[in-house]
Amino acid sequence: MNPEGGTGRNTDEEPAADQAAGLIRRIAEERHEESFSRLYDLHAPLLFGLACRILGQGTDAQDVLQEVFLQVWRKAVDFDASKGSARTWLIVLTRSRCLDRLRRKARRQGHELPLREGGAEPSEPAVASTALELSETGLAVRQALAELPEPQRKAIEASYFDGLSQSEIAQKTGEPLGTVKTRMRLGMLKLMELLKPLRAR
Amino acid sequence: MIEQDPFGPKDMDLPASREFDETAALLALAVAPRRPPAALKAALLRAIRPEPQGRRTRIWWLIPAAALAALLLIPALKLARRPAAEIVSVQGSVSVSGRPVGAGSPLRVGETIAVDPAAEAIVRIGGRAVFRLSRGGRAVISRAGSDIELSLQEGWALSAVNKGNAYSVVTAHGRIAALGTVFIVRAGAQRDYVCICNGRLLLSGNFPAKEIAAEHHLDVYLSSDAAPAPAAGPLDGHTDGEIESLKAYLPSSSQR
Repeated sequence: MNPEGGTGRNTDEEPAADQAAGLIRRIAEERHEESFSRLYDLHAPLLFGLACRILGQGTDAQDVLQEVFLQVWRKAVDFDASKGSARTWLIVLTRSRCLDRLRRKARRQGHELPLREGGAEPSEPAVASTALELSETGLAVRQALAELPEPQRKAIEASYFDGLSQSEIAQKTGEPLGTVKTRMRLGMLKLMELLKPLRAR
Repeated sequence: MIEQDPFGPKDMDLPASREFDETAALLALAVAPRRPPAALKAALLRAIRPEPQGRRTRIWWLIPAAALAALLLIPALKLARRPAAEIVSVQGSVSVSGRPVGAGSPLRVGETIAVDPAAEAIVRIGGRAVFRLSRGGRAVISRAGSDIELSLQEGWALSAVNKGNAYSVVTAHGRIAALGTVFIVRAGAQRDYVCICNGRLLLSGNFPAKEIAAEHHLDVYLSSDAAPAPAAGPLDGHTDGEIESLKAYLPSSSQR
């Protein structure tokens, strides 16, 4: 990531994706603190950005980031490179914890998860952190999302970033469940095709 | 983990595959990355760091004896698994790792306790120390036992330490170590405000370590790039009355 968050495109991300698996292996095998620190430097901005997108920029996102990295330290041995990349593992851990927290909060407050408008950016004002520039890969993903028909893109974003089930999306948008399911299916198939070159990295 | 991820291949009538998982993960990259607060990394590194080498070396010789004792004394093992600290008083909204908590809740090493701006929590760490977290405070007990370390990420922490116990508050700017002391720390973005209400502190960081003693409210500012500087801080949130009420939660040394 661009360490200063200033000008210039973030081009460090692809090497970061490559390095992460080795760093996690060293954490698992040697309890190597420097690898942990490096892994944090490489991936914390990505994961924190995701957590802020899902949870807003309160302290919840910080708590999740802390929990994820403590889990990485304690359970690095659970990472299996044959099942997916290290970056995917970290993103799945972060997103799972965010959605878990989102649902717990909604249950506690006695309401359903909201359907948020807008793109892949948090809707709350930036107070807790500085936004960094998107990586080349990030721009490509955003472009791929923009190529989807809007109803497909919105359904995918509502499910991925807001944790809504297809039934919840159908209920909130007033569309039939089958329509939502088809939109998500078609959108995801197209994304899998568009993002194929990025997956290979 | 979440009960059920609504974004699974099954929900879209697609086969489960690595391609699906990797594509889904790539969606996260559409969000602009954000730099987390610096104190977060510092707290994490402290939480994963083992005890100092000297201490570990000494403990190494005790392992066989400890193993034998553990076999014979299972109740003692249960005691050892007790939480590091207990939240003894709560006013307003207080959470531990995102879960709302009240008085009597445990606080374990590595868990984040957070209080809302108008809330406060008093936490007792065994019979050794007690601290009051207030004004939007966030802190983690990164080490317990004979050498207590509180990692203060935000807000104010007023601490009272029983004599003979090692206790430190660590911020992004340095370490404030006490031995039988009452002191308050406000973790700031540029610098921390520290008041030695009574006793002796050892301040360390990116500057030569400095020992400061005071019998009654001595203020200093602590930053990453300069030696601790005297300051006229506000006697705010740590009046003698407030200190006495905090110390009431701390059993005297003879009671322990």
